[in-house]
Amino acid sequence: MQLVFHVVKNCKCGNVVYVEVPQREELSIRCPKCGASIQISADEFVEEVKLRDCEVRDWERIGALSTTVQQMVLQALESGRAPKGLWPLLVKLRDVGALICT
Amino acid sequence: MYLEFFSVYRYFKEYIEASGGLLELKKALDWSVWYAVKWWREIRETGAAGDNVFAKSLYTSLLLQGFIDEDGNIKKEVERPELPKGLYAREWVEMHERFDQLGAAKIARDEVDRNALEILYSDIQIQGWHRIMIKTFLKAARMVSGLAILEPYSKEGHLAVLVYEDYAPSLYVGYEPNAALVDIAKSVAPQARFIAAPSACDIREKFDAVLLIEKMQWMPDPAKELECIKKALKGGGLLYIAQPVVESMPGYLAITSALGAVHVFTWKQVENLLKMHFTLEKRLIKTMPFYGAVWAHPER
Repeated sequence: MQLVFHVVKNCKCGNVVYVEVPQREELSIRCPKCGASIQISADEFVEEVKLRDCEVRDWERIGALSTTVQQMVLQALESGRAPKGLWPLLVKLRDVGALICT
Repeated sequence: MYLEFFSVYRYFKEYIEASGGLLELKKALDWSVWYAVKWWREIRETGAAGDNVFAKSLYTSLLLQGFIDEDGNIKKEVERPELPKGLYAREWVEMHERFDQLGAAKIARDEVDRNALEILYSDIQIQGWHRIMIKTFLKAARMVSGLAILEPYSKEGHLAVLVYEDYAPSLYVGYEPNAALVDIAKSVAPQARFIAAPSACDIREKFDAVLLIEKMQWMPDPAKELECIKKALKGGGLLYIAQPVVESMPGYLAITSALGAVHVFTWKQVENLLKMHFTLEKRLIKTMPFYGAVWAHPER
């Protein structure tokens, strides 16, 4: 489980480039299709939590969450990604053993 | 108790609409009272109504609102309210329900699993009604972009996220005594700066605004902390305060108290503390669903 930063950029050749980095910083990349230079400013990156392989080990804890937040956690587990606002809760659930992440 | 609905409607229209309208909001708020009476009865019957902030918050709010007498006897029974249908109003009721499942007597005796309370705190911070309530307050208080902002007791950084969603602060600094929470906040709101510090007395920079949104209950010595906050605020700088008080929703106040509060206040006590260092710019609401106002540094 880690915090990552991503951005989706459109190259002038029409290719859609997805970039994911561990730190928010200014970046210059080459389009894998046409080789054109693509500039990305630090502000363009969106933070999110990447869950990788996480599974629920304590359903009682998950069941004790509010319905909306339960859904947010379950959707995050399903997609492997979570909004950053969910980070504190996911860390606590991991720390109490309700979530096991590899 | 609901006398302030006009002011609430004036400033918090979006919040009311998100709750499904005034009637739905009233049903949701009635549940807060119903649960508070239930919890008070449970802690009295089990002899758990000792000297703790959770019990104190229940006692003072239910006494002030006429549900119990000075000896703690219930003098006004509350009927189980109808469940609201609005999504956010139901979410509010559900928060009380989840807290109720932890057991009021256990909480009052400090026998509850602390992890469960910690998780509940994080859960509340991301619930829709809570986000809408804070965003509506900041809008009603005419918060603007471009300010250097100080957030006392920044906890997990949720408030910074909400501020950055709608405004563009020139600087955002949060301080928090718990270093582990500071690390979490840095991940949640990387645009902001978070410092492990016990008090605003340790902050050297000057700010245009201070956000005291559900914060005063964490201050061990509120008068001293507010004095230090004043020193950190520029002349004419603004202090935005939204504080649940004993005249607000007794159930919600009890929940926030159980989550580690050091004090509970009446709205008048809040104002008296603020008056020591600041001047009132604008009071939006006295009690419902919290005390909400903007205060200013007295030197312009």
